[in-house]
Amino acid sequence: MANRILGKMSPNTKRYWILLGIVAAFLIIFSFTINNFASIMTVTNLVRQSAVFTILSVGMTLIIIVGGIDLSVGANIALSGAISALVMNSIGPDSVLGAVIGILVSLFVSMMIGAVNGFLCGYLGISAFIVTLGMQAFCKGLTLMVTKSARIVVSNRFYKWFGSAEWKIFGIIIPAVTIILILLIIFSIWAMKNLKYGVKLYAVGGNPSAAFASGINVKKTIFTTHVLNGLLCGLATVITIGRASSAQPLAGEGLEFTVITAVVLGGTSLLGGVGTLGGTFLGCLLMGTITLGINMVSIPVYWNYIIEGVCVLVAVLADQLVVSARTLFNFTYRKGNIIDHRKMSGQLNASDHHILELKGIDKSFSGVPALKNVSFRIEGGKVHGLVGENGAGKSTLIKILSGVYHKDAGAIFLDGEPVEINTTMDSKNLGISVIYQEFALIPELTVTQNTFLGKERKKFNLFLAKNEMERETEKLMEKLNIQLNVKRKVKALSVSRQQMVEIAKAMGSNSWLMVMDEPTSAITDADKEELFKVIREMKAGGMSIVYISHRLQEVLEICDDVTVLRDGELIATVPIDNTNEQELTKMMVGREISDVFSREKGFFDPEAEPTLLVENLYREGVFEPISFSVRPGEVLGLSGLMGAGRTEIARCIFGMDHYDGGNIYLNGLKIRVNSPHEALSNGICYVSEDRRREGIIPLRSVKENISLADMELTETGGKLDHDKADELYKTYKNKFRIKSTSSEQPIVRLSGGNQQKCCVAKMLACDPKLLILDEPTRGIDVGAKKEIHQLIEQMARDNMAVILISSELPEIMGACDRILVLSAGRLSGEFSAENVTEENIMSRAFASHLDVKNE
Amino acid sequence: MGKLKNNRIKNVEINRIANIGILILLMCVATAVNKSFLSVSNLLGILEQNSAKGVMALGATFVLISGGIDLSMENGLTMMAVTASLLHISAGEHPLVLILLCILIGAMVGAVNGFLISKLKLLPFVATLGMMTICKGITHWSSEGKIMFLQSKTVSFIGRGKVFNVIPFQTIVLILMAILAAVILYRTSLGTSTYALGSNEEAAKYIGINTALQKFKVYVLNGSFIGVAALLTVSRVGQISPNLGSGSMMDAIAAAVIGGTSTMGGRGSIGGTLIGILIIGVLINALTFMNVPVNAQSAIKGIVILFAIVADALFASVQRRKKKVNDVV
Repeated sequence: MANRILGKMSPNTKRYWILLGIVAAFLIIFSFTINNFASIMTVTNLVRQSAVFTILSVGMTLIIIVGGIDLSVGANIALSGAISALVMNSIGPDSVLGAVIGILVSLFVSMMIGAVNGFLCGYLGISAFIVTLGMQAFCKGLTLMVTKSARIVVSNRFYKWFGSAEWKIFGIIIPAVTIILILLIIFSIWAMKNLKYGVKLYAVGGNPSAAFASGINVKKTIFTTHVLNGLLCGLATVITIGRASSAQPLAGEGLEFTVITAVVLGGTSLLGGVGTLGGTFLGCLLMGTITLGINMVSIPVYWNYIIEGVCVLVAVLADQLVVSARTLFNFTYRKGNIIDHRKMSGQLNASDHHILELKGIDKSFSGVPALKNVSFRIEGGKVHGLVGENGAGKSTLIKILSGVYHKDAGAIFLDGEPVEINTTMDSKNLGISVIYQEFALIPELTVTQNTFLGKERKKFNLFLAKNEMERETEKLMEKLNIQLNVKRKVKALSVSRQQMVEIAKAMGSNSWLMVMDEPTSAITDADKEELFKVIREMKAGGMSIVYISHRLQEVLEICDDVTVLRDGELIATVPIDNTNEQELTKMMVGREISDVFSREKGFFDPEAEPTLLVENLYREGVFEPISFSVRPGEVLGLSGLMGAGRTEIARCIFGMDHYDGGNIYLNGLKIRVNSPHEALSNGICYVSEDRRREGIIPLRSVKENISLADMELTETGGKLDHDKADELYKTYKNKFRIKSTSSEQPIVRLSGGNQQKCCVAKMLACDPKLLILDEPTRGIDVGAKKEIHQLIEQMARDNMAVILISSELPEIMGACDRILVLSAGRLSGEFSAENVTEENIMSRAFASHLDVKNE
Repeated sequence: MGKLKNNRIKNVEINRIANIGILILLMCVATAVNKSFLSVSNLLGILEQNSAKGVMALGATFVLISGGIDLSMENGLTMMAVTASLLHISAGEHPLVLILLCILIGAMVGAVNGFLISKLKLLPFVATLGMMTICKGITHWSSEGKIMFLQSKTVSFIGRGKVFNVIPFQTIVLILMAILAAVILYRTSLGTSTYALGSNEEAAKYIGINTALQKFKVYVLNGSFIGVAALLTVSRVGQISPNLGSGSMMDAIAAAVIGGTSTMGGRGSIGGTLIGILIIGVLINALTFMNVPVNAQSAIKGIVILFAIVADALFASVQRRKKKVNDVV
């Protein structure tokens, strides 16, 4: 029953009730065990005692939400207290003027410390932990210096008023800080709900890159938060001195940890982007109650420490409890099925001929199926191609094979025997090795160390056999025909070399089955030839290779069989000789690809003044001077290989990167774009290729994500316009058919296609003149692709200028009026959409690639 | 080949060279201020004073490279020193008891941290924050109102003794621990896993490293190093007090960070940390000669640390840009 009620609440409300429950439990226990605890005096004492750290925890919450930490708050209070006491005592120990100046000095000194922290963390991007740790040492030392390690008595009663004044109303003692606290709580909660600043905090903490791309000044936000925190420290200083009647050099010692504890208890995540002030206040209440109770029973103070420590651990653990319980259960369930692979692994090596079969594999992620009843057979001595669109389930299948994911249903057979793959080690023991698309190399380790990572050779079963491993690595490199110093750290290698190291690493594992996920996406043509040679040798030696690639020509060249997946389902497995590129494409997409991308064209006037005119734009070492223009209603395609400079040009126009030369004209006016914010306010919008990194603030609501960029642009005096956000959400939900359950649903819960629509909506909400779409349909399903392309058509109709960047040629050819092809950072071709073929584009895309190599 | 080597020095070792440069510069300044700075006794004195901090910094280096943090090291050190000393006194002051207990309690604290972080998946910051206050509580609980001295001869030799009447015993321990740390970091699979954990934990898991186990080991190792540091500290002071470890976390982390260890994980070295601890040691030594009060020293130390970190961050960003250009071209 209790569970059912808890289940319905939002996680925040749940936490509030749990915290309140714990506080109530402590209150009840203390009331029974401590004389005089159940009195109104307790409340007074609670307020007196917790005022300072409650004030500090507001600032700390903001800083932690924005992704930082502040270890210097305690030292900050001590320093600003000491300085203001000295100043005040020299100006007017008992005058109002002295008090006013004293208070101003307190606030100013604390704020300056915050400003220095903020500058170092925000503008120089140094880790907040280390900055504030250094600041702590500095402040502590300076405090002891100015106070000469002795306390400074403060007698100014006006200054002390805030910390010590009390009123007696109907026999109840009310300290003046009560008012300050109540005002602070009300104002801060109101501000977080109703000011843009609150939204910005969560955006910056949740995903700084995406916040930056939405026009938020990330550096300034971090800086402001530290300054604000400093100001709150100043307020805490005034109250601390007021209570103690003196500035003490060791005031606030260790206070930062108490404050962080309270904030963490309140559910704010140290990873940033998550947390509420409400939770923090309850955390403070809990800490205050415990401290008070312990003080009153007069049990030794060390209990306070121990209870505090245990509380932190328990509170954070409780959060994870539900999740861990589930995994624990799964773990024990699986344990029964584990087979001892070590017995088998002796027989499994590269030279033998093996057959691995997957039968009826199902896998879903939180209810969304990723694989449906997929069967797959891999034979030794063959290269098996695996193709499908992004999101078709290839990666999921591979991760099941490598033990990263666990299948929900189905069975795996090796040479007819059933086997279980539960961990990556299981997979390795079965003789399977995987080369992932994202590099799994460790930059600080050498080539040799990386090659043998996780399977080190050892002397005396303890020390690394360094020379032996280096010799073996050199042999592997020779086999791949690469000249490379194996003692070099991987971070010093080029991307292509790194990919080859990754391949060598897999080869070195003596497995019979090797999975290659897009192995050629980052390597040069020469390296590709070497790789294919090696693949053929391995095949001849009886090994089996699963080859995943988007480049169908490569698949046709190297594979013996090919399996096509679409939307998590197996479409077909065919021998390579019986198929061709068109047929494979058709199977992958499920319909003629031209249907998805074709649209009505020609909404622009060729004579019109261009919306965007780029003149000799260049960025040192990234792309060479380039000039082009886009007219209203025109869709301009930027094509080329990955890393050819397409995205880099777009990022310069949008102000994400700075450019080294050239001019940008918007509607005939020359503009200089230094940040996404300036680009957005000029009407230039950009939807990033990397949705996760630069598109969404994962844990924030759909509504907030959609209205984020518009919010930054509209001048409202810092206030949040709730009505407009609601309106934007409704408009785009209907227009784009975004499938969300409510406006408050976290965007990360939506499917990739819907997230992408939200990202486009976020930009359209800014009313752009020019919209740059970078790989807008990558990793989303066909239906969503078609919808996105209908949106592009609509934009062209609305006379917007659009730049479309895509690696998929059918997409570029279907959607664009004009196509620019880039190669190795320079413009290598321009085509109009009517008379262009895939071959035209591809030959230009590779054009100066060859030139570069010949040079 | 020659070209490769050249490149390597340029890209990888420049940070180290800069650090050695700073150290030499500091030493020159110190010599200018005080002519007896370069005397053997003074140099050995610096080493002796910083041995315990150095051992601690070595442990911190492991934790930082693995992408973690240990906030409990300062209070942990005090707790280990106090409880081990009390047990050692009640067990008849046998020095071996003290040595073993320090290391054992250290390893236990490390094991608890490691368990919380690797098995229960708490953030290192939170887990060690909780541990920090618990350690503080235990220290106060066990030492409450007690003033006790360590009188065993062996213990005072560990604290202040000199081998051949010249080389401080503490320094020998530091050197041995540094060698041990270097062997573990560079010559065992735990070392390679430590780098892997810190730079890409997900990848490490895919590769087949048992990340939870290795992380656990890193924290046990760190705890044991702190245990040794606790032994060095308490035997030097010769008396238990709840302030034994104060300020040591700051110095240990600062030494590691000045020495090029990244607080984001994946980067760091034993040599760098040793240079870092020497930089701090020489700085304090010089300031003391100049009759700068202890309090001001702390403030100056804070500035130097901030300065070193800012310089490192700026340097790293310049290097990153250079690398980007190199990659594309």
